[in-house]
Amino acid sequence: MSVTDLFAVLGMPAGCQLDRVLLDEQYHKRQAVWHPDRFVNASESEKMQAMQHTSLLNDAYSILKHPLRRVEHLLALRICESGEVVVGKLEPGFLLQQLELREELERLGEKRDENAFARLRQTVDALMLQHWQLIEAGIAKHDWCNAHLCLQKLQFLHKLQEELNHLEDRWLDN
Amino acid sequence: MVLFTIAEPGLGRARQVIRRKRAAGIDLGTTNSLVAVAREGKAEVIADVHGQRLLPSVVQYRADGSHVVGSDAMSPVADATIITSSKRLLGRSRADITYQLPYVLDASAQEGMVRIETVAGPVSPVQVAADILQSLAERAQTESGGELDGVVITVPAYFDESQRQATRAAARIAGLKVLRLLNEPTAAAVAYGLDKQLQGTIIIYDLGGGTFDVSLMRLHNGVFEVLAIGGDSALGGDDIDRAIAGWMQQQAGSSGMTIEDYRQLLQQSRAAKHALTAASTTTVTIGSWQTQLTRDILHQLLDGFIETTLKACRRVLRDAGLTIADVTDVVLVGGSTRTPRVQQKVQEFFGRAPLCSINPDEVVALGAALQADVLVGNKYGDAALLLDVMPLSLGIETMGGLMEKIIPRNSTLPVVRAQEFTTFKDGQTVMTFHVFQGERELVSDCRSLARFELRGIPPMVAGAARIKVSFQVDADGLLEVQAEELTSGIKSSSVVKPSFGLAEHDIVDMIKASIESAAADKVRRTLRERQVEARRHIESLQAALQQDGDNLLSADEKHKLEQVMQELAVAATGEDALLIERLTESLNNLSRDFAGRRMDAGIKAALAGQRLDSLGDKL
Repeated sequence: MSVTDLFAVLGMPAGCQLDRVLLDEQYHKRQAVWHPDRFVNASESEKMQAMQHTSLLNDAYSILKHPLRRVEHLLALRICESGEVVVGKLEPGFLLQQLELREELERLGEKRDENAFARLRQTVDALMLQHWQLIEAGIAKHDWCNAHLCLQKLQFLHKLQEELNHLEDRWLDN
Repeated sequence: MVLFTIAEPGLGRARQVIRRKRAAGIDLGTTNSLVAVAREGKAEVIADVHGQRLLPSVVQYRADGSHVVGSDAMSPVADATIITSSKRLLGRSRADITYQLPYVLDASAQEGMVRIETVAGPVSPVQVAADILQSLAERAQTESGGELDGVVITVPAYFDESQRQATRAAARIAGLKVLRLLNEPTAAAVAYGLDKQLQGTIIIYDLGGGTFDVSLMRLHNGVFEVLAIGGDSALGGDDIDRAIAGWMQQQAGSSGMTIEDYRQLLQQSRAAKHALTAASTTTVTIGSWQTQLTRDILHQLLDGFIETTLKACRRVLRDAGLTIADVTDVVLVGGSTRTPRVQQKVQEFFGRAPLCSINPDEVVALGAALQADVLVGNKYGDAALLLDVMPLSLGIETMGGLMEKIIPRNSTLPVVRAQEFTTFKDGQTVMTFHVFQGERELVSDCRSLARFELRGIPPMVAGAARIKVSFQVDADGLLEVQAEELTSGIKSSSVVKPSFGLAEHDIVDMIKASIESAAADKVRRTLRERQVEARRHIESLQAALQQDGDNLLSADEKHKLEQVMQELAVAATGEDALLIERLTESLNNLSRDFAGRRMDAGIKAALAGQRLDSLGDKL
């Protein structure tokens, strides 16, 4: 299966890091040409194509501006280009660590403790940073297997981070 | 008037005499409605013959079948029913109406559909909206000296699919061509952005008569980008009036009011609310009973509502990943933001004085007029770019009554998303899709939008079929869903119709009724619509041919296009609507390829001169 290069769609250099100001600029420049508002009086087929193209632009923009989804896309693209079949299994040690972190989160859900919450967030943030760097290194070395494995871990950590935000929101609301 | 003349094919440039197109922006409000027209980048609200700019969104239906719209409709007469705030019933079901209304809903109506009982028979809220739209359109037509080429109608950003569809249906019944449904806060931002050169990260706080919207936007170099929206499509000044009325009923110990008594009580509540903007206390009465309504009591009644609105503000900031400190300005929109308590609370929350330099009642219509002028084709070039989002998530029901979200809320429009599903029984040949909108986990807590089936799936073992469900939402926020079985290519699709609004045949009936007094009118209207459409088509194709015809088409292809175009041009001056339709269709088919090539060329041109110039080949 082929993967559409969303970096190319928005005229951005492909990479884990990206220049956000340039991304906004490139996206707006293309939207200014293809937005359906520019095709209100055009033929049905032109309207349809404008709509499909702007949908693609919107998709590309929302994926590239989100760091995790950007890396997911980059890696999918690179693996697809390489033609390699990538398999990898998360090691038990990582899964065990995840369980512990989740148990801690659950405890905090039952009993509010801002200090423990801050410590948990710090741990998760540090783990995320570490895996980010591993992915970047993996991609640089064309080590797709390791990069892919680290991405899977990063996805776990990202979910955990979202749940942390969720809990914090709940505290803020009350 | 000659719109343009067609030159002989091959004689080169066609001579075109194009008149300025007539467009208007309409703010169809719960309490008041307005229409504005833009000229040379300046928008103006159109007043009626008495100089009134606001048209009360009130329609009076009379036993003789006639109806009156606006201020004249507010004073009760014998044998008439007065309908107010009907916007809140648009696209809603009876189950949504949990509060007391100053009129009666038709109990005999079909399941789910709201109709209002009047002395002239049951009336749909869509019809009421259509009557208001028509009255506004007449104002704009008188002002601009002829039939309108198109309108932009604003809707609350938090309106869901059924409410948007109902608004479109109302415009159709009123005989208006809708260029775009525009979210009210976005329209307000356009007015501030273009008129006051406002830039930055802006909160638009829009508290109207019946709806509350909050939009977080980024305004930068002519780009109006909505980052997140939130709100409540059933919270507004009306609720404040009802709370005041409820308080009075409770204080007076009165119960069992007639519909007319309650309508007057609501009117009195509104007057008292307005009086307390300046005064600290005002007298209210029910019959012989009377008491003082003080500002303090009003504030107690208000604070709960305001807190709900501020919660929504907090949520949009969170959705966009921003904090109050990132907000550079707060804009107030909607009549209810005149309430001093609302202004005070908003100021406290955001830590800055809100902007209201453009009249909060008029700002939405003004912005809509500016955008209508651009969309109808009067102004191009450096036109503003509006990037709006989906207010609520869209998804389908999966096993166990769960909501599987396919398009998350706050996705920038237009958007196309697909997801694959599979069969859960061996040999299953039919799959039913139930489309929902909302944020909750269970579909029973979300709004049902449409249901459709994919039939003829080849029998396979459970889990082997690959069914791709695609959601497509256009720039108006309107949804189309398609399902396709990938191994066999069997397709089924559905344009979402308002489940709680009106069926297509109801709308067609109303359109018929609205012009039945002159049946010939309808034929003429259809003919004229087709003529205009054909001409517009030729016009845009001609421009395209002039620009790219020689580069992108072979001589033969170009000749064919020009031939059909010429036939259509001749037909468009005649009276045969069917012929015009047929030729428009063939021209459309013929030009599809050309349009595709132009798009590709355009993408290449847009990318040329950038770092990735090799990219053009890939696209």
